[in-house]
Amino acid sequence: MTERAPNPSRRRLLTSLGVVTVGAGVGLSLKWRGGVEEVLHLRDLMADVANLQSLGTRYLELHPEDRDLRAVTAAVFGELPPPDERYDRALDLVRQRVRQDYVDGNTVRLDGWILTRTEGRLASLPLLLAAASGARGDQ
Amino acid sequence: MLLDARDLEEGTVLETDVCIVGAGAAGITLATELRGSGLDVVLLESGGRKDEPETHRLYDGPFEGPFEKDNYCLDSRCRFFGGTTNRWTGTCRPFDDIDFEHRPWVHLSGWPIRRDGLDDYFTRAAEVLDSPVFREHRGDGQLTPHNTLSEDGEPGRLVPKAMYRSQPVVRFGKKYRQVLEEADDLRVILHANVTELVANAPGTAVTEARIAVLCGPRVTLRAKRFVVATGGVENARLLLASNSVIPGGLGNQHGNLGRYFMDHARLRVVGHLMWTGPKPKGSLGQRIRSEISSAPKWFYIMYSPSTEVQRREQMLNCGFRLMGSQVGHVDPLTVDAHRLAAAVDRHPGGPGLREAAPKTAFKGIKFYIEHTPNRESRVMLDDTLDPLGKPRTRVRWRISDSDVDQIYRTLDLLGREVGAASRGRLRITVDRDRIFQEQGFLGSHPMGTTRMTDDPKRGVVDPDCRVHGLGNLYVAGSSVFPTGGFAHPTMTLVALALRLADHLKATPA
Repeated sequence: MTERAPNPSRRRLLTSLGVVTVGAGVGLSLKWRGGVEEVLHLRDLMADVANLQSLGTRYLELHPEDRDLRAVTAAVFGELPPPDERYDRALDLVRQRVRQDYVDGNTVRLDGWILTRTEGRLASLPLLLAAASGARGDQ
Repeated sequence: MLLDARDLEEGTVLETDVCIVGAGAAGITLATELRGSGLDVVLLESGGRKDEPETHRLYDGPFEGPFEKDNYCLDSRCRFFGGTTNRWTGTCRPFDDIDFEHRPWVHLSGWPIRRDGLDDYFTRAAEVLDSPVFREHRGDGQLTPHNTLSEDGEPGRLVPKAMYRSQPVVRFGKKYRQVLEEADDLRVILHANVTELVANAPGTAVTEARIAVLCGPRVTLRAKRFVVATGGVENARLLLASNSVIPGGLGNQHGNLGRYFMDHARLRVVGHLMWTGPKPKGSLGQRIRSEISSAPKWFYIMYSPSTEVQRREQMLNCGFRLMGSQVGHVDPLTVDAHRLAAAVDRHPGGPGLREAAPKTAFKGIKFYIEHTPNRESRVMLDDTLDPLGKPRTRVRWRISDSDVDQIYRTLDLLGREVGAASRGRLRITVDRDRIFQEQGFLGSHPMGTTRMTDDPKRGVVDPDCRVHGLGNLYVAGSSVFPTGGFAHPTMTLVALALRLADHLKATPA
């Protein structure tokens, strides 16, 4: 697995995620008021899950309590990884959390799919990011 | 000796030591085992040597259940020499240890006999059925050491179990006809329909069987002992209809006769398992084949919650099969689920959805479930009569919410197991309120209607399969099962028939 370059521009990140217009469409009521920069360094991981619009939207419809970007980010990664956090480390963290969720039965059912709550949050994170960006007038 | 009741004179009275009613798997096993024991035996069969529509229609009767379209009474059985082994698939597997145990979370569970007391009978039953015997047939019946879907070396919550099938499938009528014909101490009488077993005046023993023939004579058979072996529905029907001396029928003093009817509801496809990891080297079947004591001719794998998980999670027993499945439409949610799993699991070389779908990326999940004994599920006598004047059966089958829960809890276990192992993700594809209507079909394994108990108040037969309160009347077959497990019942009912044969040989009439 290759190490990836950190810290692209905010607009470039959101463009690469392809979700700039999606967040506005899901009608999110955001609590988050922090900076997008805090999660920019997760962009590589986010890019892998950037286009899970159907899954992320469905998760947020069924679990509106998970619309707080900061809380969801913290729930997925434990605490926000430092800006120089490597992609592999972040992924390992997510993988361990997903595995533990499956073992503990911390799962959700999305139109029949049995997924962990961490996976649902991960799928919704790009949408929350995009919506947050929209709320800040970044579009 | 092979006889035909149509050739007997009206009013003929026959006598024997042991009268066995029904020449299916249980009856033929019993008759074969009693050869040379010093007992004279008569084996009565309603049908002939081949299927005859007029005789088959004697089964006909209404069925109330979750499968309204099915004519359960007619379609689930065969009424000629060899019984339902004339059309069965030949699948053999003994019930598991836990099936015999008292499980506080399963209403009326607990057989009055222990599973390990049947080990030798299962070995003999395997010979009767031309089925191999494997070491995993003992104990909890799970295969080792590859017990997990995850292959990560951790104890599996779901364990593989082997279902064996003889090739060719054993048809009892064909396989055992010659030995039965050649036996000096045995008479097989075809076209002999028992319409009633008549008890003595005190109601403590059966004295004779009344036999009717379609468009033929009425005959009487007197015997020292009687064994009813006509199948899970018909056993209850005959005992209920034998009510000229004891109102309510034989063995029904506590109202249990015909109740607690069970079958194995089967579900075609209740979900899809989407593999995201690379295929393991060598199939599970190939690895299991290399580990069992001798190679079977044919077997397939089913998965069950492990014994430990059943106890801890208070679950019923069940089994499911992973089948090749076509997924016609891959919806956006499925595409997303695959991408998500691929991102999280990171299997280099894992099957991409486009490359693998729809044939190999998905497995359909086919279910067999155990049912909770339910007093309201029952075989009753209908108001209508068959052409011989015997009341038809009415079967009512109720499936409880806890039975349906079992399916979804097991699917949840499977989804968690493969997810934790980073091997795949699971989608449940059936709503629970339509699950049986959309995907259910019948196992044709009627059980429980003459359940075996120590306490006469809770069942119909005792641990020797003798009807409570009647000294010379026995029942053979799956109707004596107090609970039904998930495995096909034939091997267990043959083992019990062998055990009953030993009992009859060892005890005086």
